[in-house]
Amino acid sequence: MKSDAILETRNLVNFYDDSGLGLFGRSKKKQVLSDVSITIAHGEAFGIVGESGCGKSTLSKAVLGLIDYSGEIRVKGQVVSAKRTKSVRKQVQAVFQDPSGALNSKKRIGWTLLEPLRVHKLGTKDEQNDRVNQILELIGLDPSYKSRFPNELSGGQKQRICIGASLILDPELLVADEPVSALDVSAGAQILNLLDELHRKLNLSLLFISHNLNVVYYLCDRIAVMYKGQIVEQGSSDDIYRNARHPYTQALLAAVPDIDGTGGFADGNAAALREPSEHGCAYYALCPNASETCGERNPDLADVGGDGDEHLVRCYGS
Amino acid sequence: MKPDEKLLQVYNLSVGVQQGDRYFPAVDDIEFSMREGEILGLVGESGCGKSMTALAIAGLLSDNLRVDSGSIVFEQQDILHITEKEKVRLRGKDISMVFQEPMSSLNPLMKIGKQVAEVLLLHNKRTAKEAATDVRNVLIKVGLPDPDKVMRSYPHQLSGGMQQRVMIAMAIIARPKLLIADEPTTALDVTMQAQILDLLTSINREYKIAILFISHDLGVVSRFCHRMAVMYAGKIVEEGTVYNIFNNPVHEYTKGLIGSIPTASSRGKPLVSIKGHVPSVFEEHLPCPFAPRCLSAESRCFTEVPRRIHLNENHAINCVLAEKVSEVEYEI
Repeated sequence: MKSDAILETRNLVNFYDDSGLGLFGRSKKKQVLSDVSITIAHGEAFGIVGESGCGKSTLSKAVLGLIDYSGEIRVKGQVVSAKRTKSVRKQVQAVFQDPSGALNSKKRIGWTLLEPLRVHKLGTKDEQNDRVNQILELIGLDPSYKSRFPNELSGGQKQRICIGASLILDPELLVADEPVSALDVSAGAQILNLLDELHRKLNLSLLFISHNLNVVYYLCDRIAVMYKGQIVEQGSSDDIYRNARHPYTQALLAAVPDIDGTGGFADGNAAALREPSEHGCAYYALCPNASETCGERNPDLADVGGDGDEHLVRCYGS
Repeated sequence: MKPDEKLLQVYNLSVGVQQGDRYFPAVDDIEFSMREGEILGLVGESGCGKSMTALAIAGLLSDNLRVDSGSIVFEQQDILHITEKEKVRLRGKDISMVFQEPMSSLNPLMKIGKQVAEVLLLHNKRTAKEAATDVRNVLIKVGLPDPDKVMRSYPHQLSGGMQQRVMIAMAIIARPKLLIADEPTTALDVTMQAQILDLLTSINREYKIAILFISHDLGVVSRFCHRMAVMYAGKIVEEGTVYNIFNNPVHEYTKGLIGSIPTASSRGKPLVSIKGHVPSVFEEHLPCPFAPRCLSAESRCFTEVPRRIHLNENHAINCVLAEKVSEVEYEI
């Protein structure tokens, strides 16, 4: 286990109660996360990619301590309790998808940026003000924005403020859950540039979650691909993007339309090929090369060797 | 109709928002045309007027929106100035639409079979029995393998991808000549999006249905459309074949937009970011609304009206400095 890891999760499991249809339906436990273990090194940008319902946001919520989970989460080597202490919260901060929902519409931007400092009782008034100005400069907005209300800002500017508010406590890890999905292309590019710059300049570790493989590839050093609550493939960004071994990752890559002139079509891989298997591989129903074994037992994550880094694949065929 | 005749022509169309006695243009003097069987992508960021253009063509503008000027000619007929009764006859039969959120477009209280058949009962004078056969066929066509089960289902019993397939089935069952698809894949996952794009491509090829494809996603447009028009703040700034525009973007906005998209080759390099932000519909627009953000803007860009210049028959731009930038060297 790497000693310089900023975040480690071990066998994270999360369930939700599916009460089924009807008032008296027996409630079933549905697994949202099964045995998710990731390690993010200090200063690393780690990406999670997957489609809706794959559990990627649940993972981010577990990391932030916003939901119940079983398993273990360590921040800088220390196991953290489900109810986070202030010092842990200070080290792990978050940016979410919709900046409009994340800002208090009745408070000025300056108030929003000051709040974390007030809550954590850091510095004198003057020091707090200096810090706010410093952060505004960092996120590329001038100090006059302090007196504005969120509704006076564009989506991209609001997301900058959210990033600023999350950075004001100087966290070690920033959890960014689909931070550009609600933004227009040009505003999204500005936010991606900003995150990349902050990652490099402040040596900030990132847990970056997105459904868009191109965006994750652009920003992250390592990528984990999630499918139905499991990590199915994990490795360096280049290994995942250029040498994907899991059939699901391959299908995902083929489906992303790229202006470079690739992807975008399913080429007939549409309907389920077989009945899903309860104990087998999660991708069994859709996998083009599944064998009988795949339907009987879920494969483990195994290292297939990448470019000097580990490249984990959960597939018998890899 | 002769093969070179246009299916749809839009001339000098302006659509705006009426608020009390004030009028704000949202679509400002645009023109474009579509041939039979063509897929035209209308791209731009939110608020650029692309959806409003689509609604104007379908005759579905809400009461606070109005067409200020221009004309929309569909099969030699000006469809802006026809009666509501004639519009009803056109919609669903010759022009149909697919929207972004399939769930909110379907009637939650009506079974799928009945909903899809409605189009035929209204337009094609089919009996219920004949219609049911057609519905079954069209559901198979859009990739719903168990049509009888789907016909008996209510919308909420289907997944998002299946719902969108039903919407497409409904849109093509009367074999329209033009399908307007407004962000049909935006609410879907990428793998589902790929399947829907496959389906739309096969419909286009097989039935020769022209598709006006509205999207903010340049990646999708580059892979799916034949031609495209880029809109910014209510104006079409660049128009041409997808090949020409992606290989030789000329307008600064198009260049910026293409550069803003992370691709396999942009890793490690900063993305192009267009400074500033899109002006709101309610702000006063300059004659060239992009001038304040444009990298090549000169002082006259802030006063003069952009001109439309054809760089060749498959590429046009709308720019004050059009003559200057029109001397592009085509990289082929």
